[in-house]
Amino acid sequence: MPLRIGAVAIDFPVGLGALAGYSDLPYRLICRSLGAPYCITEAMLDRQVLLEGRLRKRLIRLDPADHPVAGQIMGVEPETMADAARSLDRMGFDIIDLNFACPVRKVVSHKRGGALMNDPERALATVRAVVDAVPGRPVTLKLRRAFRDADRTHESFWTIARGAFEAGASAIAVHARSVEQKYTGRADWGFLAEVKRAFPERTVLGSGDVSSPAEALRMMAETGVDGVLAARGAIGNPWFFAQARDLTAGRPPRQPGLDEQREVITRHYRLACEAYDPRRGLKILRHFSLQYAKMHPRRTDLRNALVKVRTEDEWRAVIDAFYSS
Amino acid sequence: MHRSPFSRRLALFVPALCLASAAAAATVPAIRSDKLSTPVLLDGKTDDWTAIPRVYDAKSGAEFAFQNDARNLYILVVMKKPEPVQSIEATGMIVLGRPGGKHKPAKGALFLNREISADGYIVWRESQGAVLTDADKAEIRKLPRHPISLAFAVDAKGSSYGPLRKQTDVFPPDSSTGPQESQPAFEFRIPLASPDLVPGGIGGVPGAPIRISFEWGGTDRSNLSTEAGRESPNSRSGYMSGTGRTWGQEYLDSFDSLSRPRLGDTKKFSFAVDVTLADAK
Repeated sequence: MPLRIGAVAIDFPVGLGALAGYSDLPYRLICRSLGAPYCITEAMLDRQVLLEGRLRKRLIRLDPADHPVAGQIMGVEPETMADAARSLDRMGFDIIDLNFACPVRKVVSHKRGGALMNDPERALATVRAVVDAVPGRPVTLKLRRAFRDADRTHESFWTIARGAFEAGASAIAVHARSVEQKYTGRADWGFLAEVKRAFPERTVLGSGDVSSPAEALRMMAETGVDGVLAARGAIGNPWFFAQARDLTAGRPPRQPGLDEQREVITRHYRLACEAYDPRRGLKILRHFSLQYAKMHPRRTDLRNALVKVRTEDEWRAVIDAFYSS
Repeated sequence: MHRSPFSRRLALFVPALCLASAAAAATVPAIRSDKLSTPVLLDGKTDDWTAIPRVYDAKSGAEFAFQNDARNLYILVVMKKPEPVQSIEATGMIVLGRPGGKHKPAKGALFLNREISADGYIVWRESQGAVLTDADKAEIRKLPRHPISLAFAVDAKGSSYGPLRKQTDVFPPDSSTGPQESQPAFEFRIPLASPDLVPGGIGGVPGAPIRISFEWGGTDRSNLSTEAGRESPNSRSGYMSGTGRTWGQEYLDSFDSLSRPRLGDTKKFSFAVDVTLADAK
């Protein structure tokens, strides 16, 4: 069941979605090594992409092992978004992904991300400008089903989705919640099925409430979407993709042992230190270790120990103590 | 300070209860699961278990042994007394796992062996993905009844889900019973994956300990009765049978009244053991 986004072929339809603070290069590389076929960067502000500086260096990192990869951008002005897309295109990102879905207050209040679900004209102007700026490069959109939760007509969604495909977008990824909902309540998978029925010939990806590999496969089976983006469900479980492949192949999913979990966590730490610096690497891994703890049989004890960690030695001691079989 | 006889009795009883609980907890035996070197053939024979350490339950007279890889836990149970065998035949065997200790919620599988009619057996085989020709079906109908092994996903509260099917439940738990000799052997295979991922999974992590408990026999387990409100696979799980009937209904229909799982009047047995799973990397 391969997936195609424009000219980009993806061998398996479950990918890592964008999640600020998590889907950075080190974690993407960890997921790649464990079977993730497609990843999306953290959302980058269009202006950050264009400004030379440390933040740009931190956000925009590519690795030969991290392909196909989509660079996700968000912004307000279509022209700036087009310039940022051009810049990502030159750097070698395989796909340009436009974020019209982020529900975070500080993003929406600046009329970025999910705010575009309330402004279809600007959203479509952005799509047209970006598609024109990167000819031949697949452009995708991340959308939510509506801005307001009470909006049951989803008029803005349909306007943006239809207009985007007409403008040359290669795929849309739909989070089945409204912007107002943020991450609360249930995602409306019925809406995903409706979207796929409306665009049977187009690539439609689904997201929302994909908490396990089984849920990812169930979303495809129940809604007919061509692929699934897992974000929160795959944070702390980079084996998510290998397990989804196992389930698809009719095999019982492999459960990583404690030694393997420790190896992946320490590899993640090394990658984070390389990508940033040891101080920031430790901070990131301390944060990630709490997510990795979800897979540990003594997760509460482990979390309690991790929150007290202040130094690298303390972190290593906790990891050694809890991940020795 | 004056204390009533009741409070004095309570003052004695509570520490005694605590001591008794502690003693009971301390008596849970421990064993290491061996790393699986060659695949275990579920045939109810002990050939695959010759060098594997066993733990003995004096009450039931049963021996238990464990092997695992990164996907499954394999369990051998050798019954050395007749009464526990009668119990397991009546009610099946429930195997529950508590990853990380006894306070975690327990989930696992109920294994049940039954005989069904030839036509029921054909339906069952086809539901498992077998492609049967008319000749195959004729061959099956030569015998009026056929044995089948069923597995249900269960939890400690007694809810159950199933029977699990290979076609859609991704290699669900499975079992096999050996020839009914003086010491019949039972082999079980349970996915290590979380029950959220694979129905019937126990959520074990290779390299980490897990408490495995076994329950069989008795009369008070509602989930051993097909008359009870069994939770059938539902639309929430996406596992519909495709026939307009739930699997639970199909399952009930596949039995005739004689072979219907019954509430047993057999002796109840239970056994728990802390198993350290082999790191199967």
